[in-house]
Amino acid sequence: MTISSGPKTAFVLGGTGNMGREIVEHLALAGTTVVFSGRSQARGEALALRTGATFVPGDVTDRASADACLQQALGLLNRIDLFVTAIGMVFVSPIGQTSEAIIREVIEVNLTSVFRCSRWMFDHFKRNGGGVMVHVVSDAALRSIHHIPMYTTAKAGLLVMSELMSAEGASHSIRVNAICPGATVPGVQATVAGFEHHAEDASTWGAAPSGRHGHPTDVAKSVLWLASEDAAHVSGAVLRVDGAASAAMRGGTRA
Amino acid sequence: MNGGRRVLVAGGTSQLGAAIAGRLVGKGDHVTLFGRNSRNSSFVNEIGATVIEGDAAVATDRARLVEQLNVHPGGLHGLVVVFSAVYTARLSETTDEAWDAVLEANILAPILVAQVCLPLINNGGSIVFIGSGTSQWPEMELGAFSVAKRMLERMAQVLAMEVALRDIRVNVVNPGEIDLVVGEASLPPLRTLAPTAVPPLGRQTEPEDVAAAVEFFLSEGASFCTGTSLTVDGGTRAALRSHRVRQ
Repeated sequence: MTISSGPKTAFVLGGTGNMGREIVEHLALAGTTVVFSGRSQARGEALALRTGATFVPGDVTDRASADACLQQALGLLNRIDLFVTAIGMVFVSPIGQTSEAIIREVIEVNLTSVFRCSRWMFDHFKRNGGGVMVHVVSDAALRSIHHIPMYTTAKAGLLVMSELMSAEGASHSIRVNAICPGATVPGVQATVAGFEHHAEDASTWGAAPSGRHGHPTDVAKSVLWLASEDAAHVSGAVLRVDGAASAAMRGGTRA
Repeated sequence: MNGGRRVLVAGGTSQLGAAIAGRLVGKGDHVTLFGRNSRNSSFVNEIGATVIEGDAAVATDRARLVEQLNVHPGGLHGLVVVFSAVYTARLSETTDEAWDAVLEANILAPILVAQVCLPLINNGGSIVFIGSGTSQWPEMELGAFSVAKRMLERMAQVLAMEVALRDIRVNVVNPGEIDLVVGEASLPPLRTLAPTAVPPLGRQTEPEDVAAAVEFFLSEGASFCTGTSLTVDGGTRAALRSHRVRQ
C-alpha cells in the first residue's frame, strides 16, 4: 500500500481565512506547490512565511481583482492541478429586513465569485486534460439555517453549481466535489466592513452530535483526500464534514 | 368560491402568470398582476384582473407597486411570485452578463418583491413562489437557472420561518418543463435543448397544472403547509431513466 502524496500544484481561493489557512498548510506539508489568495495582507504574508506557499493579495468582491489573482496564480504555477475555494461571508439578518446591497454582496461573495473563478479554472483544466476542484460549501446548503438566510440561499446555490460543474467536467477528466462543514471553530469571519458582529459566533452553538465543533483541520484533510488518486472516481460528491450535525433532527440543538 | 380574497401575482403578465391569474379569478379572487409585459393585457381585462406595470428590479417600480396596492384597504391574502428567466447554457460557457441576468430574474427579483409586499400581507395569508423542477434535480444545460431556482427554494424555506409568527405561509411550486411561447421572459439560449423526454405520466406540464398547485397553497386546505415545495412535473424527476437523451 502506498500513501498518496498531494497534487503537484494548487491554487487556494480564500487562503487567508480560517479554513483556507489550514488547507494551505496541509497542502504545503503534503509537498504541493501552493499559491493562495486572500484580502488580508498581514495574514497572507504570515501564512506564506510559515508554509512556503505564495500569497497573491486580492478581493473576490472585486471581479477584476479576482481575475488578476487567477492570472497571477497561473503565472506562478504554470499549470494548476488542484483548485480549492474557501470563501464565505455570513450575515445575520432576516430576509424581510436585509437591504438590497447586503443581499447582493452576500450572493456575490459566497456564490458569484466562486462561480467566476471556477469557470476560469474549468477552462484551464480542460486545456490541461484534467484537474481537481474542491468547493468548501456549508451544511447550510443541505439544511437551511434560519438566522443567516442569505448565506443559506447563496451556499445552496453554490452546492448546485459544484454538482453541475462535476457533471460538465466528467468527460474532460475534471473532478469537482463539495465539502459541507458544519459549525467550525474558528470559522467564517465577517467580511463586510463595519459588520464584524456578523462573524460566526461559536458561543451560540451547541456541539455537533459528535460532541465537538468542527475544526478547519477536518476540512483540510478532506480536501487532501478528494484531491488524491484514492478519490479518482469521486466527483459530484457532497461530503458532509459536520459530525452528523445536518444528518438528522435532534432535540435542543442550534437553529 | 373564495369570496374575494386579494391576490397579487408578481410576474403575472407572463404566460404562466396569466394562467395562474385566470384560475384564481375563476375561483372568485380579486387578482392584481405586476410585471413588465403588457402583452397579455387584453386577456387580463377579459378575466377581470387589474395590472400594475413595472420592473421588479427597479426600486421606484416596487415603491409604486406598494403605493397602488395600498389604494385598496384590507391588505393581501396572497402573493404569487412567478418571475422566471430560463437560460439554456452550461455553467462553463455562461458569461458574467448571463449569470447576473439569470440571478437577477430568478432570485433577486422574487426576494425584492416579497420584501416590499410582506407588510401588506394579512395574518393568515399565503406566499407561493414558482420554482422549477431543476431545483430538485439540476440540469446541466440549464446551469445558472438550476442554481438560481435552488436558491429560491431555500430562501422560501427560511422566509417561511420568519413569517410563521404572523401565520403567513410560504411554499414553492416546482413545475416541470412547460412549453411556453418562444421568447417568453427568457434570455436567448446559447444551446438548443434536445427534445424533452415525455414525463412518465404521458404528457408535458401545462400552465394549468401549476395554477392548480398554486390555488392549493393559497387555500384553507393548505393551512398547515409552510416551508415546503411541490414538484409538478408528471414524474420527470421521480427517478433516473436510462436510454433517454435528456432526463
